[in-house]
Amino acid sequence: MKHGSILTRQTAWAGIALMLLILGFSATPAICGSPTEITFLSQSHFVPAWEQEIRKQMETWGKQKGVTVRADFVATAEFNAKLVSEAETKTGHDIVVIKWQQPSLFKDSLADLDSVAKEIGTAHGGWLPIGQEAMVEGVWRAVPFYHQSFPAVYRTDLFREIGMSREQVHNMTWDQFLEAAKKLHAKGKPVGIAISQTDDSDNSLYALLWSFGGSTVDKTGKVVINSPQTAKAIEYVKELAKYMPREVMGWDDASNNRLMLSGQGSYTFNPPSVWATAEKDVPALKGLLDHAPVPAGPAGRFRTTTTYYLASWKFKASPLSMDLIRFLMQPENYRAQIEVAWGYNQPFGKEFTKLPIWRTNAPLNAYEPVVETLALQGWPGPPEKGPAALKAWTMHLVPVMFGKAVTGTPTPEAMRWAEEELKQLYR
Amino acid sequence: MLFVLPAALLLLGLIAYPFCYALQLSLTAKQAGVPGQFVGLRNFFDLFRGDIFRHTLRNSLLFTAVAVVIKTVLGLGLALLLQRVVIGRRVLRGIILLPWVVPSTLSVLGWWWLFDPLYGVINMGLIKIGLIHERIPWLSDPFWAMAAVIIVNVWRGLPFFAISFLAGLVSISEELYEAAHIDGAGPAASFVCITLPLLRPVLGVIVLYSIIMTVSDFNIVYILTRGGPMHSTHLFATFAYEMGLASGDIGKGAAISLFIFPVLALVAYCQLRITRGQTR
Repeated sequence: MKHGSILTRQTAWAGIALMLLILGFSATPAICGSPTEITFLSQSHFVPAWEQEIRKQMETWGKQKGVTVRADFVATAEFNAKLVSEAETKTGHDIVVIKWQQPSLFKDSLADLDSVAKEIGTAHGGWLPIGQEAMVEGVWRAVPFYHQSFPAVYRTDLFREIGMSREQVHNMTWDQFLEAAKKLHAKGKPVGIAISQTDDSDNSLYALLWSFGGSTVDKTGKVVINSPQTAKAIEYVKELAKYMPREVMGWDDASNNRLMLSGQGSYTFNPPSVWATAEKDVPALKGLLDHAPVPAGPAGRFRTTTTYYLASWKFKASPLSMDLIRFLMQPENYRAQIEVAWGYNQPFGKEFTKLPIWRTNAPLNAYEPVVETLALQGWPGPPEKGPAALKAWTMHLVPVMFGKAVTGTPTPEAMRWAEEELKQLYR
Repeated sequence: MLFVLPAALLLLGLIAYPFCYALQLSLTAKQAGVPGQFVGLRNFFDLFRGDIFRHTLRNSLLFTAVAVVIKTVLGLGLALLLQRVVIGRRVLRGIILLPWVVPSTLSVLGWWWLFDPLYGVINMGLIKIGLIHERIPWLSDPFWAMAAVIIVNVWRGLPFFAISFLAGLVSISEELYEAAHIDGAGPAASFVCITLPLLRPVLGVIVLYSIIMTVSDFNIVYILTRGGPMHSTHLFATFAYEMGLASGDIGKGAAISLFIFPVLALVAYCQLRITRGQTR
């Protein structure tokens, strides 16, 4: 018995010692850090060659500085959660690629990159206005990296069959688009715009809403979604939905790609991933896809974009990470990143908007330069309301408002619902 | 005392501390990367004022109630069938467990393809055999989306119910059934008067466990619908993720995840009291 009880105590002490050892080993890197490694975090890119180019450029820089480098690419759907956990736990990557109004959201966690951003801005010919989201309370908290906007992508052959030339498609109004949608639906090749809880849906429907004169907030940040202009936009979408597949109500970000690449769809809104995939992997669609500006409404022509910035956490910022940011944004490196991504990445620097890639490649003519008014969610609200605009986007309030109306909720009730939800965020 | 110390440390570190921290967060207006100020119960009141949260509450109750009832009924039926199988009994019982043991992310991705509107096998198969003439909008209609997530939850949870009930059934003495047969009882009477009462303790524990696991489901809804369409399949876990991690409003996210705790605690207490009472 006595022998058995000693063994039990020894076993217990051994167990505690083992646990402490395991905890110690796993905590050591976090405590001591890895001073000769610089890490980079970005969302996965739709063109894998861009990720390889970034890795290659980082390795070149790392060899010059005698530093090891590591680039991590995380799936889009999980990226926001990854950033939040890094900001919260104060552990993570040296350089992070943040987007939209995240410079405002994470302003207390981001290092001051004012001098770096100004220096690079000068070298790039000045920043486009859309890049100003990276400046928070007069200080650049991130360096504008690239953006990816949402033009239309359509089947040139199908639109020719219904009697529309390239010029006509590029200058369409929403009313003309509705007429085209009816004809294409009759041919069994419908248009498709997501009306669902996915970013592509927000990208498409925000642009439509603005072009009808509606918006979530006004210039002061007051919620104005409940308006006659929004009602007109809703009635339009209700009519358009009759000529789209029912499944648009449950689409994810890849669904419109699948619709187009299957050959069954004729028009959607998307950055050039559909076109790039068709050119590479779908022989039946090679040469048949083109991009066009978003149709115009009574209040003009708008396009949304996803903006990406290079940033560094306050708790990770170092001269080395600033140097790497400068290296990646050096003109020859930046040009290589754009070209290897098939022109998918649109620049913030005015000099780089003149690159020939979008002019010599006909399907990309309408992608860059952007002829529509380029805006982020929350437009035309003030910058300090950026976090609220971001939350409205991640909760997909605008698509859900449209979705409720399309599925039978009276338009005034759908707008009231959106108004109540937005007011909670914009307090 | 020393012998339970490792387990106690694990419980404290992995359960008690995160729970208390979540409770603290739910009482603050914490945003990502910024210390949050104390706001008391404001997060909970704000959530209740919001339509999306009330919708989530309804979804969670509906999803849990329907899925658990179906799993209980079908699980019991499957257990009774498995009890009667003689040839290949071990192999069959192993195969039955597959939906439960396969990593949920993989299996739910498989179901996502099955429900796909363009290429999904379910719609194609049903149209082929003439049961339907139009594609069912599985993931794009609120009713069918809820049906889809319930179907997948039942498919995953059914083996656990069946095997647990089977374990309860084999522990019931055959002599009771023989005595009942001698007294003229038929199969239905034997089931109602012998099987169900003796299975009640197992039933109680399994149903309680399933209620807790079902109401806190995340994978199935996140992969299939992301809570859509129009928030019609959001559960507490997915809405807490959207609010807390995707939007950065950590205080509200914690409040959502803790909301169901008092209800579940009450359900657990009542269930265990009933079960203990019947055992005595």
